[in-house]
Parts: sequence; C-alpha cells; structure tokens
Amino acid sequence: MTAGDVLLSGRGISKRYGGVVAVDSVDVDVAAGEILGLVGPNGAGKTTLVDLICGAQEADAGTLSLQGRPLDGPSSRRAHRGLARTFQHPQLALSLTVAENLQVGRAARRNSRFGRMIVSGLAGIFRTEPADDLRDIETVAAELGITRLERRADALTLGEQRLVEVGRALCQEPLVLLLDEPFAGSDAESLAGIADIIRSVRDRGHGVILVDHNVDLVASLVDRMMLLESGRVAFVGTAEECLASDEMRRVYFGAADDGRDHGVLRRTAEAVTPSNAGPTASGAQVAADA
Amino acid sequence: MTVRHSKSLRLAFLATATLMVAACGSSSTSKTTTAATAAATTAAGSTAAASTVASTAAAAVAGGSTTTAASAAGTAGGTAGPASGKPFIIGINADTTGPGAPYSVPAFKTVQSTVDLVNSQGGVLGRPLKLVQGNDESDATKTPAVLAQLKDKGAIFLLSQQGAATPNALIQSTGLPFMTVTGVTADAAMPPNNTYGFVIANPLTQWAPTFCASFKAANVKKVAILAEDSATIKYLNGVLLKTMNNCVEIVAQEVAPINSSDLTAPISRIKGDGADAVWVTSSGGPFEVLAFNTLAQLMPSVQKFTLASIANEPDIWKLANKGALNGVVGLGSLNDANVQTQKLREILKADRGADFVPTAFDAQAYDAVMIIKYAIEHANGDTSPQALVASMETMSAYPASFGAPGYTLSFSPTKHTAFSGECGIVMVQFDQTNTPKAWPVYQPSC
Amino acid sequence: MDQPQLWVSALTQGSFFGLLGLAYYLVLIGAGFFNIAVGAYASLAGLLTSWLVVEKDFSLWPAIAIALAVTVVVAGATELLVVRPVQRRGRGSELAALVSVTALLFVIAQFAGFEFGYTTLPGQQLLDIEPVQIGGAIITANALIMIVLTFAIFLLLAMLIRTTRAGRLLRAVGDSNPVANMLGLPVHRVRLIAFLLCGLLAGVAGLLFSSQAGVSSSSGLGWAISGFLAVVIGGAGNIIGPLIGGIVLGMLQIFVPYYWGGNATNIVLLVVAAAFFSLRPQGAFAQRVRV
Repeated sequence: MTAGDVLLSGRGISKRYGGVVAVDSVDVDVAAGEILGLVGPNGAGKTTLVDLICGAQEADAGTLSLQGRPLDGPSSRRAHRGLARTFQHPQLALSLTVAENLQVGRAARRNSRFGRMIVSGLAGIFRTEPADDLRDIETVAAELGITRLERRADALTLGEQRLVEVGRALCQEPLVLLLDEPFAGSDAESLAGIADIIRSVRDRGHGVILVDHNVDLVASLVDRMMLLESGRVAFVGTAEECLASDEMRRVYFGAADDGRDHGVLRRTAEAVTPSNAGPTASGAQVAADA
Repeated sequence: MTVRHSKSLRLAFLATATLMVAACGSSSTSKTTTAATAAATTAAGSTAAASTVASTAAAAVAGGSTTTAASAAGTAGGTAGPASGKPFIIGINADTTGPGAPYSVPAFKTVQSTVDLVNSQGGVLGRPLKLVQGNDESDATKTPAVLAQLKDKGAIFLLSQQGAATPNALIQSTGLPFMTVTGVTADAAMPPNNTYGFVIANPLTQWAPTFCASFKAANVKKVAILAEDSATIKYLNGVLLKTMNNCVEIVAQEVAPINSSDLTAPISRIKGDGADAVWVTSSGGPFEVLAFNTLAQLMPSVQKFTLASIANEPDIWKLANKGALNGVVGLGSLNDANVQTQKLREILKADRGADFVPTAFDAQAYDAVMIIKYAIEHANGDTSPQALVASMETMSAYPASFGAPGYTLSFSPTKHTAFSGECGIVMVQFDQTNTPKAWPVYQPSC
Repeated sequence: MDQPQLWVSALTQGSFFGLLGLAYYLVLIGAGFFNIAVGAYASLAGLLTSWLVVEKDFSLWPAIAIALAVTVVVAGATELLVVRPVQRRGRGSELAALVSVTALLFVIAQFAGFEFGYTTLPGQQLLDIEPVQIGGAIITANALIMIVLTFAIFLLLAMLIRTTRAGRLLRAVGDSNPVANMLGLPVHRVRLIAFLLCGLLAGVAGLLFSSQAGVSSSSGLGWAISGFLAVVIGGAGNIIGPLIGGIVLGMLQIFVPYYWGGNATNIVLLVVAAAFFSLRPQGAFAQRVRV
C-alpha cells in the first residue's frame, strides 16, 4: 500500500442504546501512513466508535471498508483482516508473562486460518517459539521500553500494562492500529516511547486511530484530527485547523470567538509539534516556557 | 485466580451446596430404605422383624385347609382353560425406581410371573388375577397417594413394603388385607395394630440363636463387626447383639458410611483386635462387596460372616473380586433339597431363561401370590376385607418355597406371622466362584 | 498416620479427586467456566464401559474406547449445545450457564439410570496382575494404575500448558476471554478443545475409579462434589493445585474415619471446605494479584 491510499473507510456509522444516540452518522477515513486523532469530551462516543469499527459492538447503520473491501463480521474476522486495538483499561492475560502476552499478539495472525492453526497448534505441542518471533518481541519491547519480559502480567503497574498492550497490538502487525487512551497513567519517558512508536508505525505505512483526552498530546502526533460531540462529527481536518476551530473552542471552553485570548491553545499547538525536542507532559508547562 | 474465576467458583459453591443437601437428604432416606428393604427381603425366609409380609392366617380346619393350602402351593393343577370373568385385583406398591429398586424389581417381576402363571392355569375360582401397580419410591410422603390409587382401582389385597419409609399405620388405614413382599419390619403382623397385616418372614429373634449356633459350630469365640451406617442396620444390630453377647465376645464394632468407596481404615482398625471372625452387617449392595473385597486383601485368613443380604443378591456376586466371597457364611433362604424350591426354580427358569438364579425375593413373591390365591378360594369369592382376613387366618402348613425341606407357613387369628419353626432359615456359604451353597457345618433343624 | 496401607488408600482416592479437579481446571482456564458436569462424564464413562462388558458381552478395550468416545462427545455437546448458547445471551448469563449444566448433570444421571439400571455395576479390571506388597501395604493393580496414571497425566499436562504454544493459547483465551476475540484468537475452538479434554480426563478418571467400588447412575453427583472440593482446597492458580487438593481430600476421607469413626467424615469435609472458601477462596495455590 502506498502512503496516502485510504485504508479504512466508514460511512454513516450509527449506534443507539434505547433512546440514547451514542454515535450518529459518522464518516471516518484513515489513510496509509496517517494518524487520525479522535478527541471529544466524555460521552462523545469515541470509544463506541472504535468498538463499532473493530466489531466489538454491532452498528445499527453504516458501512465500513478496509482496503476497499467491505469490513464486516465478528471481531475476530476483522482482527484477521488487519485491525488491532488497545483498551481504555488494559486487557492482558494476567496469568501469562509479558513475553507470552506479546507472543499472543504474534500468534493471532498465525491463527487466522483453520488449517494454519492446526499445523501451528500441533507444532506448538512439540516446539516452542520460532526464532523470528522472539526477535520481534524483543524489538517491540525495547522500542516501548518494556524490561524484564519474564514477569507475569499481573505483577506490572497499570502504566506498564498499558505499554504491553500497545506492544501486543503492534506484534499483530496490523494494517490499522486503534489506540484507546494509550497515554493515560504513563510517566514522561513512557509517553515519549509510545509517541515514537506510533510515529514509526505511521512511517511504515500503516494507519493509526488515536483516541485520547489529552488534546495537546494528540495534536502533537496526529496528521488529522476529528472532534466528536454527542456522537456527531463536530469538526474534521488537520490538527492545526481543528485546534483553531470554533467548534473546538466551543466544546472545550464553552464559547466561540468571544474576544478572550485563547492563545494558549494556539501556542500549545505550536509547542508540541515534533520539531520541539523532549516530551511535554502538559500544555501548561509549555505555556509557561513560551 | 482471576476475579472471574473466583465468581465462577462462588456460583459453583452455591450449586454444589444445593447438590450436597439434596444428595444427603435423599441418600439418607434412600439408603435407609434400601438397607431396610434389602435386609427385609433377604431376611425373607428368616426374619420377621424386617419384613411386613402379611401372613396368611393359619386358623385352619386341619385336613381340609392343609389340602387346600397344599394345592394352592402347588404349581400345576387347577382347572384347564384360561381364566375368564371379573378379575380379582391385587394392588402392589413396588419401589422399582428408587432406593428399593434392587429388591423390589425382582420381587415385582416374580409376582407378575406368578400371576400370569395362575391365570394360565385357570385363575382363581375360574376368574383371573389382575395386578395393578403403584410406586412410592420408598418415600413416605408419596405412599398415601399410591395406596389410595391402588384402592381406587379396586384392589382387594395389597402387596407392599413396610418400614421406616412406609409406616404400618398408613397401610392399615386402607382397610385392606396386605402382605409385604420386600419389607423391613414386622410391625404389620404384631399387635396392637395388626388387623390387616401379614408377614411371611421368620422373626429377627430367630436370627440370634441361629448365628450363635453357627459360631459355636465354627469354633468362633471372638467376633469383630463391620457395620454399615444405616438406620436399619443400627436397629438390626441392636436387637441381635443384645442376646448374642452371651455366646460370643464382640471385640470390635466398626461403622462406615454406606456409600464408602474405601474401607481400608475400619478394616485396618479391626486387624489388631484378635478376632476369630469378621461379621459384615449390611443391607448388601456395593458396601458389602467392598467390605469382602478389602477383607480378602487385608485379612485373607480370617473367617467371614454376613447377615442375610448378599446371599440373596446374585447380581452383586459378580461385583466382587474373584474369590473374594470364598468362605463367607450367612443367612440364605433357598435350599435345593426343598422340593418346593426345586419347583420354583423350574417355573422361573421356564419363564426367565436357563441362566436365572432365583433368590428369597422370588420365593416370597411366588408364595405371596399363591397364599392370596388360597385366601380368595377359601373365602369362596367373598372379597370383603373381613372375609379375606378370616380366610388367611385358616391357613396352616403351606409348603414354603424357601427354607429347609418340609418347612411350612401358617397363620391363625392370633398369629399373623407365618413363621412356624427354625428351619425357615438356611445357612449358606460362598465358594471359590462366589456362589452360595448350603453350609455343611451347621443347619437349623426343624 | 503410620499405617502405609492407609496412605495407599489416601493416595488412590486422592489421585481420583485430583484428576476430576484437573478436568475442572482445564475448562476453568480455557473457558473461564466451572463445568460441574465433570461428575457426569466420569460416571458415564465408568457406567457405559461396565454395562457394555457385563450386559452386552463386549471385550474390555473396545468397550473402553466406545465409552470414552461417547463421554468426549457429551463433553463437546455441553459446550456447543448448552454453555455457548446460554452465555451468548450476555451479561448475567454465567449463572444461567452454570444452572443449565447442573441440570445437565441430573439429566445424564437419570438417563443413565433409565438406560443402564439403578443398581451398581462393577468396575472393570484393567490389568490382571496380583496385588503388590510394598512395606506393610498391599497395592492392587487398580490402585497402582490410578496413582501412576494420575501423576503422569499431571506432569504431561503441566508441561504442555506451560511450555507449548498450544498451552499458551489455552491460557490466553481463558484469561482474556472478552478480548480474545478482538485479538483474532480462535476462542470458540479453544473452548471446545478445553471441554473435549475435560471430558476425556474425567472419563478416564471415572473409568479407573469404578474398579474400586463399582459405579452407579447416581455416582456422578457425588463425584462432581469431590472434584469441586479438590479445586477449592488446592486452588486454580496452578495446575498442581487440583492434585494437591485431591490428595488432601483423599487423606481426609481415609484418616478421619480411622481416627474418629465413619460419621465424622462428612462433617470434617464441610468444615474444611467452608474454611477454605471463606478464609482462602483462591485455594492453596493462589494467583498473585497486584493492583
């Protein structure tokens, strides 16, 4: 796939629960080599949209396509087609070690077809890992700054678990990577690691959908940004455009152009572009420095 | 364990706790009843305490009734041609699916066979016998309904078990004469409440002297008892041992749960007590098999005795290991020297196949039906309860299909138990092939 | 506790309970489900084998093969026809599934009674050798097979589950079941395989134990409880848990009657189970949980 080709495309995606509309006729596109940021206040429908794309929940309306072909069916089928995601709360196999959790990610691709599963299953009884797998796991772990892979997953801190979950998703070598709040609870170093990895995934030509509350962080990473409000797309465009938009101001500050100095947002957007060295933990710090 | 597993386990605990309660509840009553029924039935030939087999009254005009009794007991004979006309209805309460199944099923089948046989030979007074069946599953809460049903269907005579699970009072209240084929206690035949009840079995009081004499003949002075933990055996042992303390020294008394899957512990305890013989007191079934299997391994040279169950349960002989029952001595009921027993074998072989091994249950079932036939004939067709009871009470010297040669049953207005002498009991001993034969060392004499 | 014979008995019983517990364990880690039908599988295998040999004159090994095959099919059917459809209904369905399988346990017991009769059938002797005498204890062929086979099975499965990819897949699916789908893991297949293995193990256990004291259509109910207690005592944090739990249970069943008489056993069992359940619900071998 070439950068710029649309990888994932959704039209008119909708979901309601009883009388509440969670996602209302959302259109979404992610191209190869692109990171799409998904922001919005609590309850805007960001995670639901990710669920709908991945097949964790069934949409009431709308179509999805991946690489031009329709994307439907159960979540396991979509995973085989090339989607991988992380969760707001890490969902690791707690009784498995870090290394094993990562290997699960690698194995996921291998088990996509029944025949291959049987063969690898039988082989699995008699051999352990092929050397390639081990190398890939170590690479991913190193990139993310995960150490001591022999630890059990339930012995990790929440932040470490989040890292491992990202690692597992990466091991799946997906076409599109969907990350749900990957930065929450991470310290400065982990943030940098995750951000770098996301960029390298993008650079390798995959697509990424990044959901997070931290608008600054998202803005510093993404190419395009979509603002969701009450299930509807309030704005979609480049990160800068989105940050400067009236809709963004309204949603996050409750008013449009009211003459007040919202320069803090603008300055933040400038401050967290990749050209700035070092991670920034919060826009406030940048504002202070500026 | 993850939270999810823990929750799973809690739910499982709930489910299992319910299961345990249910199992304990049903098993205690069921085991009791099984034990009861088993002991009763096996005791058949010998115990009165166990069964409520209604005895036919034995107040008999000497000659006539003997002849009638004899012909009633006879197999062939009777008018030629099939029976016809309004049937005499016998109601049978047989637990064929519950804990009493091991005993009720064979008894029921033989009752059925005997009824068919009687009908094929002209029936009773020319009319056929008809069997209507109920099943209270040895559950006293179900018994009233079953008995009422049988009465509604027109039964003039009842066959039922009686014991902890089927109280005498319930059956008496139907106002119909009744006999127990696989029973537990002799309440039905003993005063004060014995107007309608009749019992074929020998009284429990006869067991003790018989065992005493057996122990003496086998030179046994010290006995260790391995008892199953059931209400029936507790009761039986209580009665037995009261008198037996005079003739042997009881050096050990071990009790184990009836559904034990391992008896190594109690038998290991017995091993050190210096007993000449081990006496397994149980209602038969898997407990007794396990006991003798384990004894054969752990105490191969000790003399082994049993009560009365296992000798009458051919189905469980093959449960035992090869030769594990070799030498076991206990109360049987069938002695091939008895002419009536031979006739019974022939009849049942013809009916069920050459491989069929008859037991005390079959003998009692057969005799019960024949005695009913006698009662109806002797009442000249008057089917009122009073007439039938009076007719039963005229029976004397009915040749039993069990017991020593020449053993007879009799009833009288003051005697509703058919027992008429020690020789209703036959002592048997198992051989290498786990099959019982008459014990050469001692037999009670008539 | 110095009687070797009693130890042999305790070990034999303990092995049986351990195997049952292992059957539970497999479905616990592979499907996160407490498959109480384990008791039914065990009794069905034992009953069917004996029935075929005793009533239908089959020779031993074909009877065993058929009985195990039937048991495995029933185990598979439990997952496909009972657990999966009920759990598909969503939240709150875990209790419903457990209730359904408990009902299945009773149904199988009743069916077995109807088909094979309500009386106890003898177990079959697998090896026709004389009992061995070791020290002061006599070990029958059946006891020997039970103990040796149990330990061998535990070792084999422990190795498989821990070190192979297939084993890891089993653990991964069981542990992260809600998201396993989204990882593209073959959840349904793994669950089914867990159930099939469970049926096979329970069937083998029931088969071996039937030769001790026979088997009847109602044996499964008690065995379900025994296996459950083995897991409660030993915990499900480690594959060795059910074995330890089983052996502890076996020891209780043998030594308690020896010292305190036959009636004490049930009381002691209940007390021990209740104690574990309230004080240490994760069993002897817990999973560490760090928040």
